[in-house]
Amino acid sequence: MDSVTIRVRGLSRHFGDVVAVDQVDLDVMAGEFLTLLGPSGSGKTTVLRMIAGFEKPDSGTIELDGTDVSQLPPYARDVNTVFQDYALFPHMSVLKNVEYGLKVKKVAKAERAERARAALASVRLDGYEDRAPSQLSGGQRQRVALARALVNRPKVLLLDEPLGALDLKLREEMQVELKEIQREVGITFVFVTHDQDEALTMSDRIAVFNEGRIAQLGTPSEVYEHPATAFVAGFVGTSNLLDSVTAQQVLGRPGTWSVRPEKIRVWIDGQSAPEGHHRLDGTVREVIYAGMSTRFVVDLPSGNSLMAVQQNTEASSDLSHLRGQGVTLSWDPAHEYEVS
Amino acid sequence: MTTSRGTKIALSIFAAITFAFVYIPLMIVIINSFNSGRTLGWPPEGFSTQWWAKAIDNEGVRNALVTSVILALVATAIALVLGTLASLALSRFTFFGQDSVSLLIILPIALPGIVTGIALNNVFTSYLGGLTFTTLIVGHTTFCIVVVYNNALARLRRMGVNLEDASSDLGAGPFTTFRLVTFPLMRSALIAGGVLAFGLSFDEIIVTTFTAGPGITTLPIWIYQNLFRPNQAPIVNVVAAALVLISIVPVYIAQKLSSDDERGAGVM
Repeated sequence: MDSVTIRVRGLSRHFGDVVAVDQVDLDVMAGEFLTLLGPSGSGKTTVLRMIAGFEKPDSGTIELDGTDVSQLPPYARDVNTVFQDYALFPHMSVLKNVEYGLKVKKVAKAERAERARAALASVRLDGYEDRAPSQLSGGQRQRVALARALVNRPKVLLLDEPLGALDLKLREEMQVELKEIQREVGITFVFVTHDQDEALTMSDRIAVFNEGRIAQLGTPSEVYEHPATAFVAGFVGTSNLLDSVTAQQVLGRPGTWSVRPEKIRVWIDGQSAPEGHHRLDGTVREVIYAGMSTRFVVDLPSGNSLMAVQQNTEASSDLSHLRGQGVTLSWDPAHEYEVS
Repeated sequence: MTTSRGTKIALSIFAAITFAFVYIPLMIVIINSFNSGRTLGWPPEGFSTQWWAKAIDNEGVRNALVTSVILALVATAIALVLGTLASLALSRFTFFGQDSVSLLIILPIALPGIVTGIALNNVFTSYLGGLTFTTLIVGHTTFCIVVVYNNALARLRRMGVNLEDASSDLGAGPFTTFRLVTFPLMRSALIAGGVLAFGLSFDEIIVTTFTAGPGITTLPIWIYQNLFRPNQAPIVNVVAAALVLISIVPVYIAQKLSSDDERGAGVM
């Protein structure tokens, strides 16, 4: 993962008065799974569409393997896209859809049929060659779209929220499957999503977008454990911020600090908290039982509140009687991070 | 929606009266074309196909039919090319004055035929050397374009640009994309538009009157000229009956094509 496949420099794009993408720099390494994560309107999709060639940048460059492609039309770029709505050609069979890219590149008939069948097999759709796209389920269409893109062996595969239309169960299956396929084919994936779980599960690195800029770029654990800004802390995972007053009181330093809910432990008797932990007293406002875990919303004297999550390790985990009770929160100082 | 019994009966009666007013006269035309009598009285005197035979033998009718068919085919063909190009320009590109251009394309179908007719007549006779068969074709093309354009534009809007983006993404240039994706998905809309355009041209009489060169007689013009000649009345009746039957086919085809697409055969 040393060589850079896509080098983006100073990329900007506005629509009317709205600045969609603002001076973005980004290096995508060969063979990596990079996710562009952000809320809608953060510019992640526009960056993807500019890499694909559907949008022209106002300024900045996009290099693909060292060649500036920013002014080339989509059909002259060695990248392929999996669209959010799949965009399968409704008047062609599944096989013809997958063959399309090879056909327009004048690959011989026998070879393209063979490659298309192999691509369909790799997404476990052998036997579906003659179906029409309208006869397939959402998950199957998604895999046809994937095969149609991968069969061209592009340098980069761009995925625009490809799992957005699937139900939760199928989406989780496809996350694993997509990651496996990416490892097998070794193609660079650039994946756009607004779903933080998806980003954390699948990515080698995540670029968190906010207001047209990259707020943070790092591995899933870096982004989750060391959020660089309050925005990242809030968007990836649950926002759990210590305001300046509380920070001064507990940590002895001002500033905005973040602690992830699962790092915080809840004690009825504050004295039991481990030595060396930071401690903070509060009142339980809400106890939410969520099967695998229980969430506590604890009001702090400063008027803020923190969330704490505990695994339900005991057989009887009903802790709702704690509502309204005073508790002590504690966490290892290693898990607190200052955010800007 | 629930409707009372009285309302239902009233609505049924109104519907029946409406259909009766539209279709009974058409049925009488068809029945009368088989009437053996010379005067078209009611009830028919007897069954006969003699007027059909005479109509087919009538040189004026045959010439008018050929003229009308050629005119409608040529006008429709030109409209298909121009209407498709216009719909692509307006749905796939952004340019200055887009809405005005769209309005200007649609306007001829809203303008009274007599206005279009007089305007074209003025231009053709004053500046372009008089009326010919070509000027007649131009006159018909003005309104044929509109139906093709409207059908094509509706289809393109519904199709969206994603499929064309996907094609481009997979390496196809603009012409390949049009040939392999856009055109196949527009085809049924174009056939429907073309059939309607053909139908419009085939029974048009007002613009035709003002733009046809001397001696050119289309079928509707022939009917109009012969309607009040007592000797020709039964033949006119046969021609009218034939037109009714011929007109049903394109309308049926157009309706069937658009309802097939509603069911998702055209665009997912």
